[in-house]
Amino acid sequence: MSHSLDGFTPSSIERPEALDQLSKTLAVITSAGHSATPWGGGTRIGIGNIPTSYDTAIDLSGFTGKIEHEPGDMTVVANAGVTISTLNALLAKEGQRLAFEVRNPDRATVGGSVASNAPGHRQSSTGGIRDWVIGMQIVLADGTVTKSGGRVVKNVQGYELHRLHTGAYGTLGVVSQAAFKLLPLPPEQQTVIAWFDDQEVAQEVGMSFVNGLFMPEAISLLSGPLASQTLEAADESVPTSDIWALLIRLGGGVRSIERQVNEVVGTAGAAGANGYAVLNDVVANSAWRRLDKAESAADLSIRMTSRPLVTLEASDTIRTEVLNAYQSDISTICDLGFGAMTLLTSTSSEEESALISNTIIKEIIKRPASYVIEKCPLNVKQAGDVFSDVGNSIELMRRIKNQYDPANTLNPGRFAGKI
Amino acid sequence: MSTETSVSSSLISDLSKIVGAQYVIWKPEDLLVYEYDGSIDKATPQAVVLPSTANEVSQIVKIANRHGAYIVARGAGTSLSGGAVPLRNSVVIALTRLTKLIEVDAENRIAIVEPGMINLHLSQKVSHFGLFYAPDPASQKTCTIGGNIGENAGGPHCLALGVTTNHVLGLEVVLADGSLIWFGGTQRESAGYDLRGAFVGSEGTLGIVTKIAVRLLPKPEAIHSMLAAFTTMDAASDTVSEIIAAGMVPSALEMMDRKTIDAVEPFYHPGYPSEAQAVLIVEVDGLRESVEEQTEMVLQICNRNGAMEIREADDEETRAKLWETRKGAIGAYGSIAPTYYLVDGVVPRTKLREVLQQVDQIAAELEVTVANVFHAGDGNIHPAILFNERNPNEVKQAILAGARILEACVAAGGALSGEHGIGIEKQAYMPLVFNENDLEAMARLRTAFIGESPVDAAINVPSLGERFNPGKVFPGGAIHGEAYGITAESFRPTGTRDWQ
Repeated sequence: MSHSLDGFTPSSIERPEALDQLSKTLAVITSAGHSATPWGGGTRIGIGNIPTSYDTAIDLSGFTGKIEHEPGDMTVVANAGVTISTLNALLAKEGQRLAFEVRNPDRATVGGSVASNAPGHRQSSTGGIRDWVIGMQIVLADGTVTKSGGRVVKNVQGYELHRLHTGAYGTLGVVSQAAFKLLPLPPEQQTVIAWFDDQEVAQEVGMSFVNGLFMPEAISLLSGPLASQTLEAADESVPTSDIWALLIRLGGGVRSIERQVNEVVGTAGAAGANGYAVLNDVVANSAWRRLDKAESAADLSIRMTSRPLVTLEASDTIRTEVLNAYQSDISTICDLGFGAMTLLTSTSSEEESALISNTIIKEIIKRPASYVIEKCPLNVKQAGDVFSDVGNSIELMRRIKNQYDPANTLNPGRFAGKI
Repeated sequence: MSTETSVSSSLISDLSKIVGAQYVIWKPEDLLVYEYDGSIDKATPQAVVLPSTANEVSQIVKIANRHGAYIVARGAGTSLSGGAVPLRNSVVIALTRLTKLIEVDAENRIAIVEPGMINLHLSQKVSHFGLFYAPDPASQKTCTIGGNIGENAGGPHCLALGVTTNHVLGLEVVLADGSLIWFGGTQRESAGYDLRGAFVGSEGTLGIVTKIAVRLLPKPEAIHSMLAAFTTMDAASDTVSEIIAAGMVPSALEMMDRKTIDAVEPFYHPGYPSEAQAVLIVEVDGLRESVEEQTEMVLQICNRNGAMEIREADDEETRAKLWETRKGAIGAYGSIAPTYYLVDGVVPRTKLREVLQQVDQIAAELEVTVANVFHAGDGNIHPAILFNERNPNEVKQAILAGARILEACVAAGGALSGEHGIGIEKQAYMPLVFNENDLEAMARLRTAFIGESPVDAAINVPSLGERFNPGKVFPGGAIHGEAYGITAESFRPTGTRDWQ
């Protein structure tokens, strides 16, 4: 049934379309002592621990009334329910775009993307959503409408509560509107794929771009089945499955792009790449989309963030260990400019998911890193916390939750530390 | 008063046990330099203590709790908003001895520093790796990275590269109970609430930062700086708009008006055209090809808008010369008047022209002299109100003019501060932007951090959670220019503008 979550089905679904409706809905739910889960496009709704209670879904997909784009200021303010692709289509008319990308932009909404600090391919060059949110309107659990920040690209006025709510997964309030700093669309874009049978070389080449004269818009090092699948999507057939692929998107003016492509191809070639190809737009899109599809199709998806070299080393160790123990070849996507790695696998049973998940987490926590299990069967959620340990800041986080949502209305138990 | 003195002397003795007597300042004549931070407002601290480790900071906080003393953390004191002025007889913890570069991880482009490190020193220390630290406030030769955290500092190059919060990965913080805790880490994102994001820009009211993990960036291959003189401010403003409309985000877009040109001439002898009413600096960086492409476009736009003279620099020496007037502008105002009040407001870039005209009108109405030097690219204006501090009436007029200017910024859809923070200066104006619910939501964060303040209990006042840097940010904590006869009634917000 729609809006079900971890085996719970809500007894009601509210669909506020205006601020006063949303405010009233929340006030009523909280005063009745009920619990609620804010719901955007649902693309990342599964991320989180099992709720301790789930009475009402607050579906914000109709909360779309406002989009204010100021091209001259390179800012936009949009309501929570607006989808990322709707917004980008509008911005593109003026030669601009959101600075961040998200997966499934046709369904992903502004509110959901902000609340879950949704990652995307371009994180290597432009960072996370948190870096581009300049202001926010939040409706607290008791219905109080509040705001922080502003709609100018630079503002230091009072506490930056919009950063606190970014990535809070709707546990401190419902994001009803967000203001973003924008970027111009680059005049040209070009995707290059290079592949290697030597993982060390692949890693070195990748890191040389990240620390070189230009940061690619997106740079993902792929391993495991996903590497060969992406090569297939890019119309390249590779005889071996033991391959590492570097998928790189470049952006800039005509002359700048030409130089970047030459450098990428030249460096990869000189380092002994098994092959490389400069992709046309259609093929490039299908290659990047292949990564998104892989994440949607996986039974188990874990995102780890650390220093880039730590993610690379962890990728090797974890893949080898899982392969030896379970004969399961997992895929990894390392976004080298950001220091994020997504580990993906399809498993034959829930038990196997739990075992593999345990093996992966055990390795991750040996390193200075953070993780979130983005996708897993229910038994994995039942066994522990899907977020990494927040250490001794847990008490402060609980106090913050208690300040903004004292009745524990919003997404109870779903956040890090089961907040 | 005798009780106060006895509390003080036992406090001094307890603090001395932690850091050594030579690092506790309490004689009235020695406290003078800690009374102000380059703004108009002043207050005397009870004592100043200079710890050398995070552990000492933690112990000092615990001691201050026992003595019921408020605490103000201080970097270099360059906020210009009264942010570091110690109200309520606070103990100042000066972090200027915590200057270590703890770690540089060049391959992962990360550094861990102590809060007293001077901003520019970090870029200098990692320069041989081909790296730099991006936020570059105009005061970067003196301001500290800890202070930058407090104010979420920007700088001329934050247009393209972002402000402090975009470059901080993690923070070690001493909380109100003296405990040490990490927010974030050395990775770009961490599980749980983004405490580092909430802490950066909180103006020292939530805790004291003792270690900072930051991102470093590779130095660009090429940099090209251009300086163009225009016969009108409008032509310069149009040039800025057209550069942005052309899809460029230059690494810097800085503007100076005629009064500033006059002020810098005797110091630097740049010899700008005598008919010039505005000087614009545009800097582009990146790959050589990209810099060439952008330079061509910028020059075309400048010429189309009637630039009378264009100077260019692509080597360090010429660039330093070209930037000299911009970087030295504030100091050069001394040739016009003994004191300046540097207002820090933000307007939507598209409203720059309109608001600058209003600034002129306000200056004329209140009979004050205003010179303008500002970050045109992000709409962050810095009208400098020039006056004589010895004439109380001039001071008062300067403060009132500042209030009117900020009101104009907010009315245009802008913000009260781009990089100096709220401090004492702007707290009375917070209601121009935020209503009671917004301010209350902010106060809840402080309550979560501070809880029931042991200081408030010790001195028997209702707890406002004002453990650190009391009387700041929120309205009602202090009155900007109180010493000059300004009262709360002097500011009458004429209306609020909701940016939503």
